[in-house]
Amino acid sequence: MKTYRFSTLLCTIFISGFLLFALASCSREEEMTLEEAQALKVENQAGILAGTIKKPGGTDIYAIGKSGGIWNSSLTGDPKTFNLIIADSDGDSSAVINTLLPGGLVQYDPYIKEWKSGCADFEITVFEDEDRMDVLFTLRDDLYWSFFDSDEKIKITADDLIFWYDEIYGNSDLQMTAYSGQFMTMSDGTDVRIEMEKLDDMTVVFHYPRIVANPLLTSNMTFGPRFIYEPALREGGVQGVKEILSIDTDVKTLPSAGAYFLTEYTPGVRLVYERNNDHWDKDKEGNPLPYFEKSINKIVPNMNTNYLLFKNGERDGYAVRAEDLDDLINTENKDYSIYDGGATMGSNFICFNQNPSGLEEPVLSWFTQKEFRQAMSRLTNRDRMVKQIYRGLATPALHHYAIANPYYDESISNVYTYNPEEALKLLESIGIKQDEKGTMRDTEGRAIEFDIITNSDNNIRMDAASIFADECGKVGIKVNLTPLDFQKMIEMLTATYDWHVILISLGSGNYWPTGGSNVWSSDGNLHLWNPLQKEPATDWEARVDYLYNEGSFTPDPVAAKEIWDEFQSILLEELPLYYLVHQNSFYAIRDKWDNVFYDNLGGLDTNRLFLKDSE
Amino acid sequence: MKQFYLKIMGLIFKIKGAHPLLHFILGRFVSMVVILFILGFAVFALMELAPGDIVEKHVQAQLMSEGSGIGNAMSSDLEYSEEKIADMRAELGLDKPFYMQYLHWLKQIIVEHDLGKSMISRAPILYLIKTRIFNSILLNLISLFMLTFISFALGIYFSSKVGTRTDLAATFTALFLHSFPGLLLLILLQLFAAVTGLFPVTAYPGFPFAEDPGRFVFSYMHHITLPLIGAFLGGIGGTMRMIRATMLDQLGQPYITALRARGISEGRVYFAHAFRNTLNPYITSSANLLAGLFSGSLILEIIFSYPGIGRLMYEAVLQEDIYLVLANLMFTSFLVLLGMVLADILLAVVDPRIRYSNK
Repeated sequence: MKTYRFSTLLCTIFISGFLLFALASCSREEEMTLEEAQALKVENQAGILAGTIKKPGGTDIYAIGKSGGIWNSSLTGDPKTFNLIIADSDGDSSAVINTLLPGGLVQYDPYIKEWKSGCADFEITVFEDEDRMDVLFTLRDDLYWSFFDSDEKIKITADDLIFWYDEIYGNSDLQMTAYSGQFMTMSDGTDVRIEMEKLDDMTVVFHYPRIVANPLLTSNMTFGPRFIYEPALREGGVQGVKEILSIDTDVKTLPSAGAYFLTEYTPGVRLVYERNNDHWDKDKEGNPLPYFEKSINKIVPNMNTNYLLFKNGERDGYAVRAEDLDDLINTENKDYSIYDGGATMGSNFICFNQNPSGLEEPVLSWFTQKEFRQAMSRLTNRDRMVKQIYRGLATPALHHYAIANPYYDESISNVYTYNPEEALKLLESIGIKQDEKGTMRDTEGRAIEFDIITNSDNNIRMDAASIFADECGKVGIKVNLTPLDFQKMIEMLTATYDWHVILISLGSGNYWPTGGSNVWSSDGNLHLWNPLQKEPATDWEARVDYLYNEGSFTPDPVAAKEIWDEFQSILLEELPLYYLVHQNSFYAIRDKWDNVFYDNLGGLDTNRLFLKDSE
Repeated sequence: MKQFYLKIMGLIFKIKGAHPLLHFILGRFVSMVVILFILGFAVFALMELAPGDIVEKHVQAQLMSEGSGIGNAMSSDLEYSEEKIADMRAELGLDKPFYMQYLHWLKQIIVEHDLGKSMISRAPILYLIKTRIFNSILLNLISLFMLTFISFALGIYFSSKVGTRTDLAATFTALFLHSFPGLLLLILLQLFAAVTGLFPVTAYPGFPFAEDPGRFVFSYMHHITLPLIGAFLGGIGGTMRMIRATMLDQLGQPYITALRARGISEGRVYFAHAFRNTLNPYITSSANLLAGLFSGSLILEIIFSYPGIGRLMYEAVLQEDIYLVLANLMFTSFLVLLGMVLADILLAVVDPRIRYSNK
């Protein structure tokens, strides 16, 4: 009897404990319907923003800080190599190695939309008579490769630039992504290489074979330690240079010309950086940057774990996901602040296939009419997406260029915003109208029905596609949402072309007017709606090709503005693709850090953070 | 040649006669090598059949990430020519038929004693595995021992309470734990750690062993407590139910009645006779346990950021790093086969009916 009682007690404790623990880990809020939850979220939007801080960055707004402290952060993946050539195709590795590099020769300031010196001063000379130009770079005098725990320094000279430009980036066998950027298409269609010449120990010049609009964009470069790569290339050739600086290299032996030394790498666990006092970038009073002495980066692949680490105080900063925002704001006695960075530059877009080799009738004839695409943009309820998907924390994306683009113009925007009545008029103008049952039919009586594809692992895209399909359904157009594996979708875009409509995004938006040459040019391999055209299929594509080419070779900002204004106007009128929504981004950071400025133009400059006096 | 063959055969028969268990083990190892060879061949053949390869995926991914991008530094929009793609394939050896790739891989392992290099990072696979294997083995061994001992203890205890409310409650709990999704359990445990602050939300100390060995050991034990509980709760239900059922089966056998009739103490009946016979099915079923633990700890390693081999291989699969994936497959298959050999040897040790002899 005694045993029975004890055992029963044991089992009861065990089961109750487990259930209690499970309950403790769950929210205790009462359930509500989806609609109620949605309404509450929209109402709470003002409250959410009130819980955040707007403190945008800018040129020279930082205070002078003091040295000290450890910055705790995390990475989502291990570096796979410490070799710059191999890391060229791996984002995780590049992110780690780039901190050891001296940085770009020049830097673009998105606030004032101008270039400024990086680790070199620059001078542009235009030879109009000869239709060519030179870009001269003079390296800073205080650029060194330094070593951790050692006084040894190796000065960086023009030879480093020459080697890196000619023998690393310019070596076709190394297959670096920068290789094709060294060539310039001439007016006769031939490709000519931009040559680099050494003028003296600290000066190099790029000889441009023709006058281009933004030579600094293509000549800006960073570089690695020549004294390691050059012997490897001489002795082992292409294979030899790829074999060095593998992941098993002792990180303390890696030289640095950047802000940090990499002093520890424990696979799967963490990376530790320590400040490089020889780094050229200093504050106004000449103090070395960053202000903190050490940065510890845990390797945590799971995003939820990353979030919990921040909540637990094991991370100092955290790029807030939409789903974490409420919880972070409503935490009591928090020791962090959340900064609102404003609308991001990139956006998802909807693109209509117009490729005759992948699309069949009648869909092809619908999609190739601009009135149809304009009507679809009129049926795209961006405000509903903002409310339902982003809880009001987003802005409709109506411009072609990102706000940092030098030719961004507030007044040139997509005028085909949500208006179902206007959409019906546009459709009627091309013979598409509702029958007595409310189904949209074309001139031959065929019901308007098509598929929209997007990648199944992205909930935001799935929701946006659902809203689009729902709005189309309201006027009698049947849109079938087809979630697909991302790789399958890319294959359809780049190889089989057998899709109707896609919802996707590319890169970080149109940051530069000349960016995305393979997207906007009709012969581009990523000219999504009809790639690799031998001749432009439509007049407007021919005009876009012409303007893109003209704009790329027009350095005069006034003349260039005219070109790029027309360029973006055509794309916003023809709408081969149209953007949806710019999501707001938020960043949470512990209050112990001072000098915090954050927005989507410049991000967060962690190098300028310093501990407050109380710490 | 014939003489050599006869010598070898003579030696085999000699070993078989003098050391039957050794002969059995050697035989199993030979068959293990043959199976691994065929398995590797099959893996290469399957990968040949699968659409696309690492180069294609790399090109597509680069295309999508660069298209319309910022375009700073020296990078320009990518234009991959057929020649460039062919060069990339040739460099990785993907232009050869799959059996040639396989033979090259085998030569690398057998002749050069090198597991090869990761296709993506060019890092030695041996190094990548070496940096994580110890962590995985340590975690899985602790988990295995904990699971085995506790589930045996509970299984035997509850089998003695058969038919009582205690037994009913225990059976229900075991069934509940057995059917509870492992992934959800781990997430709940992690949330528990975050809410209470009693445990860390990761499963590995935030500093290396070399920095402070003493502190590391304590920190490690603290960090793995929750993941261990997760692995334990996830595995205890099934194992305990099996032990309990086998014990009950044994306790119902006539020889147990005979033992009890002879006045043998209940403890002796349980531990010296019935318990010994539960080992047989447990050992047989545990042949897959070693490999199962490695694949089972994959989710744990990802959620709790534990630097084990499962996480490494998961990333390799996502990136289609074939050689790294292959090394993992071979490693897991080797564990399964090794587990079977060990199970057979253990069976011979614990069960007098199974003995490898020349009789």
